[in-house]
Amino acid sequence: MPETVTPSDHDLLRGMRDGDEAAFTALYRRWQGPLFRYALRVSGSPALAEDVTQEVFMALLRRNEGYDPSRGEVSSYLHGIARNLARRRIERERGHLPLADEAGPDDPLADLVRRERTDLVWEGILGLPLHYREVVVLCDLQGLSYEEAAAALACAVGTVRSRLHRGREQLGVRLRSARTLPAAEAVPRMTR
Amino acid sequence: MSCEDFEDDVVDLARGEELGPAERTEALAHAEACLRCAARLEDERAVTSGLRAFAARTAAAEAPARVEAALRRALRDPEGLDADGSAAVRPSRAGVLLLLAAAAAILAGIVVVPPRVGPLYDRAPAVLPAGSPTSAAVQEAAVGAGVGENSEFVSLSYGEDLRDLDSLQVVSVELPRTALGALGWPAADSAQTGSVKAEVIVGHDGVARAIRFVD
Repeated sequence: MPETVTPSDHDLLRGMRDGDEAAFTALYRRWQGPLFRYALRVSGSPALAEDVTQEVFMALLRRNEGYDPSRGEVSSYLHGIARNLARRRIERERGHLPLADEAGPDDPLADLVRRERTDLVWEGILGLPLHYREVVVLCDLQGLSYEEAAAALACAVGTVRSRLHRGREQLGVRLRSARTLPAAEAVPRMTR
Repeated sequence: MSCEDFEDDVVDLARGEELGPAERTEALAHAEACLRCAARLEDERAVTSGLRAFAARTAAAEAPARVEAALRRALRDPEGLDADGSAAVRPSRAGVLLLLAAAAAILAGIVVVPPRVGPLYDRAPAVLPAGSPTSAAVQEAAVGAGVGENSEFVSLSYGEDLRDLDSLQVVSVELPRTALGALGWPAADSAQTGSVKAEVIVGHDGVARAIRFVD
């Protein structure tokens, strides 16, 4: 019985660039979830996450080159594109990012976001400076190694380590102070 | 191990990754002997625990199916892509909400289109190609909304056929020129002031589907 071989990300990327729709679909289905979650977690906005996910793959369709295997895994490459797109949008739309209110009441994603936005951890993450927030999301939520995160952010591994250290330190302070407030004051803010 | 060395390792220790067995044993031994570092480790473990719980709760979030559909259409229709790799000029869904907030400033008029009647809906269905800013469906809907056949509306939705909607409204709005960049249009010169007028096609669900600037 022939063995089924799962194509690598690199194979799928190459197939996609040759116009193979099956390769594109497989690559998309493998990566849309992680990329959507990255953008959602770092921004708090499902609309921005949707845009970023689409734009990452549109960028892949437009470019004939761009991925260099010697610079890291496809995961780092895709997260790097998503990071740049999300960062540009977060900085441009500061204070105007829509949350889940645009979606209908029966949208499970909107429900999830509404519920989680009241969570102290997400509030704490979204309150971090963006360069710390990106590293905390990449390493602690997306599960990238220091090396993968460094490739996505185009910085040194040491920079990732120090940003993660400081980001978590700030997050810890925020969580501790929120938890020691009287209940009425500890209600998380819904706007940034 | 000194407290300073412990501080260098405490994040890796709490995350349970990236630290070799020997370093881990040494760091744990230090925490057992040092109350301050033990408390520091507990704090980091609490952060790790909170982050992991949050990651698990949001692990099922995925892009809506319309994104894949739009991308596959774009793959089949490479004409809709920019050859130079530059970003397509497409207003963002997030930016549209900013636009609608600005619309509250000046609401000049509303035209309501009756649901699924008239020749607008009798024609063969047209598909909105992703990456193609204008489309037959948008223009037809614009005509149906009474804003003229020559309207250059830009689609704001991914591959949605406006003729599937029960009703449409055209809302005239005015917004600061500086807001154009946030909507995904080529960034306006920051020195430019004043406002621009636009018309937005809004579905019965209140979501904007297309826009055109009228000056």
